[in-house]
Amino acid sequence: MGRRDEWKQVQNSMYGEITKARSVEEREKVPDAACGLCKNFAENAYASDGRGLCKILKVGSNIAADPPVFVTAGEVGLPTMFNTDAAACAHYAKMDFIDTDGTEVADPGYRRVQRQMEGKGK
Amino acid sequence: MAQAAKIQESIEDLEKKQEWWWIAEKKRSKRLDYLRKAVWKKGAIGGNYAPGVKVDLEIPVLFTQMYNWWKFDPPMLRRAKANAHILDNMTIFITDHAQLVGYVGTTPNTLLWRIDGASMVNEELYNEPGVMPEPEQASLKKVADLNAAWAGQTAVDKVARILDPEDAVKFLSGAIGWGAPTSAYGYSGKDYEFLFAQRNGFLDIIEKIDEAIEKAEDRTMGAPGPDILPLYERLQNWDAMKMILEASIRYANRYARLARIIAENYETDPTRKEELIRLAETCEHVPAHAPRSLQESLQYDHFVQVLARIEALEGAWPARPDYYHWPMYHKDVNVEKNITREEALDLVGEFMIRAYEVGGFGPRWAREGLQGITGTWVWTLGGVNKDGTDACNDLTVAFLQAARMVRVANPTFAFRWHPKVADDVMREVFECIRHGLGYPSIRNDPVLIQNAMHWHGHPLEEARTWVHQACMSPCPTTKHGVQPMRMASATANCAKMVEYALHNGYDFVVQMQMGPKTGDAAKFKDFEEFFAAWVKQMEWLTNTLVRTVNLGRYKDPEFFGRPFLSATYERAVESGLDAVSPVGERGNCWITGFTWVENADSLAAVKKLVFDDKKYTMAELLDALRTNWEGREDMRLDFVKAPKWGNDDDYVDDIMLRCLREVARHSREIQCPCGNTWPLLPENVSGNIHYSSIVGALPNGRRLGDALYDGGISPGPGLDKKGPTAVLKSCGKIDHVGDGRAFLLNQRLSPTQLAGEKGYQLWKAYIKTWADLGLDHVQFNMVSDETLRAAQRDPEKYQEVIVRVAGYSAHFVDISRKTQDNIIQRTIQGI
Repeated sequence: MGRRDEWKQVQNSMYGEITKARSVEEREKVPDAACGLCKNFAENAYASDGRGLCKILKVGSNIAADPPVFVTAGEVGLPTMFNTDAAACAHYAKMDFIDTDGTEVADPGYRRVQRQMEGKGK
Repeated sequence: MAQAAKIQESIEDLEKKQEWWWIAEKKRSKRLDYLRKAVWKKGAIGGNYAPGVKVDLEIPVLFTQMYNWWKFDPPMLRRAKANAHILDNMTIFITDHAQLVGYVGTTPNTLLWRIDGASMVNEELYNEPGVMPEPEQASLKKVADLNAAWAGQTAVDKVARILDPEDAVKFLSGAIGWGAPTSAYGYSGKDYEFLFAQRNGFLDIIEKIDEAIEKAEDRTMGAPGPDILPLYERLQNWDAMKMILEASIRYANRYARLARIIAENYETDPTRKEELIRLAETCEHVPAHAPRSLQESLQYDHFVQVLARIEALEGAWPARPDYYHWPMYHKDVNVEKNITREEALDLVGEFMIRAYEVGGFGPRWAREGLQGITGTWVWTLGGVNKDGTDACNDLTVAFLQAARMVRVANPTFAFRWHPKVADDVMREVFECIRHGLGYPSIRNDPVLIQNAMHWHGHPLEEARTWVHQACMSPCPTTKHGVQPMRMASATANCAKMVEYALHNGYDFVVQMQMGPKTGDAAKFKDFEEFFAAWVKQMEWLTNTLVRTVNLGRYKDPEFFGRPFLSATYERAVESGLDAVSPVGERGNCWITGFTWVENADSLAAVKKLVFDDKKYTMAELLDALRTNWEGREDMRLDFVKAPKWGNDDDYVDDIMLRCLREVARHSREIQCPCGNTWPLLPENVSGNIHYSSIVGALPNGRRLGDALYDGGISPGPGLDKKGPTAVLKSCGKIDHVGDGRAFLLNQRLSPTQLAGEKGYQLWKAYIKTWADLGLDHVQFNMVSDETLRAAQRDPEKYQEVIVRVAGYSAHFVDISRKTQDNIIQRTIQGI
């Protein structure tokens, strides 16, 4: 696979399926074990629409598959959303505390500013 | 009660305590007091909008309805029809006591949401706490439906699809830059010469468009040939420009009608009734015709700004109000004496308040990078005329005086200093700074005119018209000199240059191979190898950002399209091309360099401690950086104590110059779509806070999460230990013409030291040294630590304290604690 095709794959996984239009119900639902509640989730620093990268899993992983696929080697982290269901993820590690005070500034490692996440860190 | 007591205090007492905001309240007219207090603050507090501020949903609904209806039209025409539909149907309002009208939303507490800019911003809005109008559930459903309709169809979606996928992924990681490669957001310029100097109202422009259409049709209806083919598209564009100008006149007439309705049916105060009738007459005259009075001149300008912002979320407000409104001010106040100077001050103050009111929904990175404001409304004052004579006038002074009365954080001023500025004007400039506004910033006019000619080839007369496009960069206001859109995505997070040189191009924060693999730094044998890696990372980073912007600019007429902006540009009206098209523009691009000085300080620390003194190995340093200095505090402090920029120390200053000259060399190797250069402009706004958790640990001793330096060529907070002259001397080693586009310098001065006449003379002497050394910029904070700490403890009592952040001012209580601390940490220089 050439350079362009390789990056196209990454681009599709970061900006394709996970950001497709969803219903209000899908947007509002935050599972008990959501990626956004995991300490391995790093929010994207450019788009605060809830997308982010896993700090453990790399592109090629699929935590929605049965059985889930875990790839830990590679140059790009697995793109995921703050409310992706991570119940089947072997690397899920719930945060003890989530800063939901949006008047402070960004921190891709520790910040969750989405309205849907209010109160979830408690 | 406390407020009432303050009003009773004498102005002398308040001056002693430097509580300038209470003085302003006492001195301004009742009208200005009402208007200033009635305005809704739209700037984000840290990263969130203030309670009560809501997103306007009426405008995106109106736009989407008509945009979908005309889906087979060419881009500019389709957009003109949809925007005209907004102007004909959006709810409008007139604020009590106002003499100027026009707003980008349908109620005073709303934020403009341009739905066609970027899907990711639309999604962010859906997730944002607090901004949905009540009832929230119904609004959420409406936004979800709108987002679904626009998913993949916005300007940024279209650019992202054709970008090289590697560039797209790396740019959208948020690690190396910000901004959006589209004219849907960004910093537009205005062709003031066409609108104001040439005195063209919209009907005059329509006449010019009709003439252009007639000429084009003579050809399209004549002998066939390849030369006439582009005209078919241009005819559609002219139709679009004409359509949006006609809609704009109707929009103004709606205000006229509303003012008459209120005057004739509801208003009981005869004075206000007269004002409303005058307001109606004003809106019936402008923007259709060129203005005849100061009120009409300001109203015309405000309409142009609002209409441009309804078309796109413009993040800057380039203006030179004392220059372009002077003829009408002079006529009204001095020649015909139609209004008193006090009445003119009221209008000028309200003009600033109307600009302060404007707000749009911005993504979080923009809110955090511009905490407390909604865009960089940096208005330019002073300077020279096209023939080189002093352009300062009594309106310059009126703006400086009005600013002290209305005390808005946005717009701010930048003053074009030159040797012929009269002392009474300089005193007014100083009074604004002494009153703690943080503005005007001082710009060295002779240096910057030369700079504009050097980098972009602007002829002398054109260069002399320059205004600030965004915070810092000079841009002419002429037919070929004006840049229609500075897309902010050429904003580089420069600290990544040295970070990637250390880590072989890998980014440990976003977990991605970002820059080129320039080698394992642990194996570098000398400083030159390390510096060579830095150069490669610098070239890669700037290339990546510039490629993105160039493509966005080139495709913008197709992917977005600016009918209104085009209709206000002489060259677009003449050619029938979108104003954003590079055709006919000389080119005026620049790369904004956030987090720049960290490079020089980090490179110097590595040179000193690793290669010269050999106190640590590079492997030890890399290990310390990757673990964020954990367990190595002594080592970190050694790196903090290494030579730092801003102390007149050639060891580090020479490295700074080397870095700048490498960028300057590369600036000429990369070109904008007009074929011109891309010089560097180091400055930060509050990006130093936004990026604090995105830039890893650095060899200047900084930890991941620590605030970065406050920007430009300002020394790190508290690291300039040798006084203000040493700072100026370091900065004076830079060639402010040839080494880059402009260089921001923040300085804090002591309000106690600068009190009274003695204070003014001290400051004036400082400015003389600054000018003699050839620096192009300096801006001041003159609020004491005591006041700022009191404001942190008791924010309710200090709502009106303003500080200079970097490139803009903000109310201190509206910026995050981290940003507040960063400002307090800056060294107060005794001069």
